[in-house]
Amino acid sequence: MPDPFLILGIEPDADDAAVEAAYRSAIKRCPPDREPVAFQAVREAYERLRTRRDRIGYRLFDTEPPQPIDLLRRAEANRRASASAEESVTQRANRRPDPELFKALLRGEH
Amino acid sequence: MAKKRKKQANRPVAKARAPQTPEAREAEALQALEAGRYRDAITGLKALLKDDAASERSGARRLALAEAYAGRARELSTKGMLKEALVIWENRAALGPEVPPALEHSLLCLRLGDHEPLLRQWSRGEALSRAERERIGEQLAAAVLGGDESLLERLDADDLVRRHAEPARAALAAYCANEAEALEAALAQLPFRSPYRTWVSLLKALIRAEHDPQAAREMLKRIDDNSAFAPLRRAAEMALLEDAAFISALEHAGPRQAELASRLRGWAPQQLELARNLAAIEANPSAAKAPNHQALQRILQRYRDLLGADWVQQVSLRLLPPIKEPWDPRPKGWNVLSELQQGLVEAWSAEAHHSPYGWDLPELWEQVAELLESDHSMVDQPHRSLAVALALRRFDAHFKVLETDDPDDDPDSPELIAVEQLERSLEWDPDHRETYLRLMSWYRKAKRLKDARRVLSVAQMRWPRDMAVLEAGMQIALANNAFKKAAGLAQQMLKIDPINSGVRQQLVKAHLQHAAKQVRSHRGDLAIKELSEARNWVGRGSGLDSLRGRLTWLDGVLHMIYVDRDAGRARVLEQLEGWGEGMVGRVDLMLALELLALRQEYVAKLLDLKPGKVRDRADLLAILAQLRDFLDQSERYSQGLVDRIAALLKGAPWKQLERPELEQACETLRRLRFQAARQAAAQAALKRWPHTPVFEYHLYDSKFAERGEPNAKELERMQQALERALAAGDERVANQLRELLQLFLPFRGLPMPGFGPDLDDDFDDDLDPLFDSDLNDAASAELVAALTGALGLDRLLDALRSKPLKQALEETNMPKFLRDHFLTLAQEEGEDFVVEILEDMVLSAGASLDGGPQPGPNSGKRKSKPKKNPFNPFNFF
Repeated sequence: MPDPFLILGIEPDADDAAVEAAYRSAIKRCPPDREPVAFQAVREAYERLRTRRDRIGYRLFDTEPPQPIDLLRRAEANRRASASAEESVTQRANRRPDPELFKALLRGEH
Repeated sequence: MAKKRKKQANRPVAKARAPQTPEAREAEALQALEAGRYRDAITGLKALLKDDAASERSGARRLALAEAYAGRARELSTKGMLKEALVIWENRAALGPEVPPALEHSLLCLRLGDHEPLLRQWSRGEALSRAERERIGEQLAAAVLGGDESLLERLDADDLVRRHAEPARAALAAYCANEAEALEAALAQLPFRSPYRTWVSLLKALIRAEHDPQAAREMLKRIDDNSAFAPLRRAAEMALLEDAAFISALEHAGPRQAELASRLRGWAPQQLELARNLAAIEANPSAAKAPNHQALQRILQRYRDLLGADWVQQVSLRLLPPIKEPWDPRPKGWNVLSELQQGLVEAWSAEAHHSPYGWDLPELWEQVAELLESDHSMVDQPHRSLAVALALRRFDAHFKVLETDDPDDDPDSPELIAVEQLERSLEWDPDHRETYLRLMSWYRKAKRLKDARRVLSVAQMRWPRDMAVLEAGMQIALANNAFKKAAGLAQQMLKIDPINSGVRQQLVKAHLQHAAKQVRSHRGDLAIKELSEARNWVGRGSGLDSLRGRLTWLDGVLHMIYVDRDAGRARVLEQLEGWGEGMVGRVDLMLALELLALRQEYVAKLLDLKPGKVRDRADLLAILAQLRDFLDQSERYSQGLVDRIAALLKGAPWKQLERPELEQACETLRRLRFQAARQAAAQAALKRWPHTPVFEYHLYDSKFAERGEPNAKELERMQQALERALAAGDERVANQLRELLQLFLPFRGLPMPGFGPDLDDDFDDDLDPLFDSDLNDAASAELVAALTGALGLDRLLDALRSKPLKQALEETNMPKFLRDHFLTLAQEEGEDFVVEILEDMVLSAGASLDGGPQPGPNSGKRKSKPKKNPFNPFNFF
């Protein structure tokens, strides 16, 4: 199973309220009637991390060998965490794509 | 060469075909065109135009050929074969002036760097439809934005594509530089009718995506698939996907599209590089089942900063190669790990490769707990206590050691070790209710009621109104025969949850147990009083109908025994009449008597009941349902009940039941250990459905459950049933048969030569009531017979020593499954090994028959599972 912290998008030291909030937000994104598989994954992740005891247990003893997607999710989570901190205009501008990328696609490059 | 041969081979067939008229050939070509077989249509029409050039149909045929060319060119474009498609479009254009120029041809030329054809069409101005003008204008606008300067110079000064090029480019530059005001100013210069209209929509959608992704998705949907800006729209839509979908889409996207999408998403270039490296790992076919851990380790280390050093450290431990045995070498870099990390890796390895001879798992988690206590990195951690407690609970949590119905109170048993660890875990984390419950349950089942009460008192102080704790308390009180206390606790539970029928049932059981105690003390008055209290609790509860009925039986029976024999008897017989003619009422009465442990024979005598039999299918099914219901509620029942029901079921109409009913019946009878009835049911089933593994299992399990041993033929039938169950994928029955076969090893599990590891040297055979030397002699004879088969002892030994193993075994006529097993063993360990084992076995068995050394005491025990012995060839079942 992929890392439940990454599925819920929470930090390892998140508290009960943060877990609850992340779960609620995740099930809004993937309700069971429209995205049953994603919902199931979110539900399982929540069940594994519901209490503080669960989270500490998972972090210390139950961490599973990571799947490649876990690495990408972790990188994304770290990026979001740093993006949510105050960012200068220059930093934000630096994250915008280079105009050459637009031009290349318009020229028919793939 | 192959192609040439194929053509030559086809030639005679082509020659053989009758010559067709031009009309027939045209019809065939048009049919191919309509079916989308453009190549056939092109070949047919081209040949027709050449062979029948003078036909008045030539014009129509040329137009049809133009249509076939267009179809084929589109096919090639879809496949990305742009240059080939261009050749086809040019062939189409060369057909003559009656074939109108195709816009797609011009667009393809533009895409390949030749803007002349499109410009020619653009210059026709008013001759174009509005849709065509918009499409060409947008294509030219996209080409200008793509950087085609020469195109811009060819356009008139007042051409909208040229006039709006500057603000469109400025808008791109402003967006990429994140200059909101400049972007707004540039977009304001692009009116609705501008060829750059789609470009404006796209940029607005990209801005919106940063705050409102859903609205941005809706805006992007308005950009058509045929639009020149569609590739940008696709990248933008991809950037708005959820994490998992985006990562999966990256695999299928082109490099430029992936780069733009990841940048629009805000990814650093390193993230895209990471995604590509991971995709390369997953693309490796050997990684289809499990990703390559070494490759993942390398990636983790390379992108340590991006992923977070703590997380990388944590997951890297899980990627270390497993250490299967304690004595195996440790992986590379082991010494770099802290003691705690080493302890964790060893504990995980032990969990994954648990065996009785290798790792000591509880000890390893104990060590982890100690290291967590002392590790300097954990000293200041607020969760240190919790971590230590969790390590101490890990062994039980992982293997559910305490979830047993038959507790092992041996000080060295895994259960007792787990119990001690759980007790100590409460010192570190005293708020874990589940641990208290697990301990109480185990102590109660192990009859360590003092300990159960000790844990209960702590739990009750912490959670005085918790239903699970109250229920555990009630069960402990019942186990202590403290019925009043149990009733008090049940009442507390009902105050919290008044409709809890489970509690009512337990309360009734408590009263009944108390009543049974009074009956044993010959205090009929008190028993009746308890019964009336029990009735108070079932009067209102739903789902308690059967219990209510049984209390009515007991009321009558107690009245008959202790108050007024005739009146009580009349009441019971009246109730019995109400059940009809079958035996189901009698069975219900018998089951009710079990609740007070009343003697079945005695009550039957008082009621003057004549012996009866089950003759009817409905009656039989109803009785089986009653027995299942009884089993679900009761753990104990008397031999008197078994005898009386067995008598009722003798000659029961099993053959009238359907297959699922018989399966269920056999299972119920197995649980009740009604072996004769079960055997009869299984035999009836096998007559109708021969060789059915589940019935074969019930037949042999019931037949030999209490006495006797299967012969070689029966063993072979069991083995065949096992193979059929495995072939049918019925794992449950296969496991049951496997276990059954293990119990009936030849020799009843005689230890193998040289292996008696679990036998006590001081054991005195005479002191073991289960040990029967005659049985062992018989078993030895059976083994010799099974192994030597037609050969006899001496000749088997000669054959083993002088012939290839396979040949020697075949000559013995020993059962096939034994032969197969020895051959498999020979493949794994070598023929010499098997020959040596067989020689030792035959010699040992022969010696025991001759009054030589007797086998160890365990061999005489029936039904004791043989200890797993790595060299025991009979462990193959």
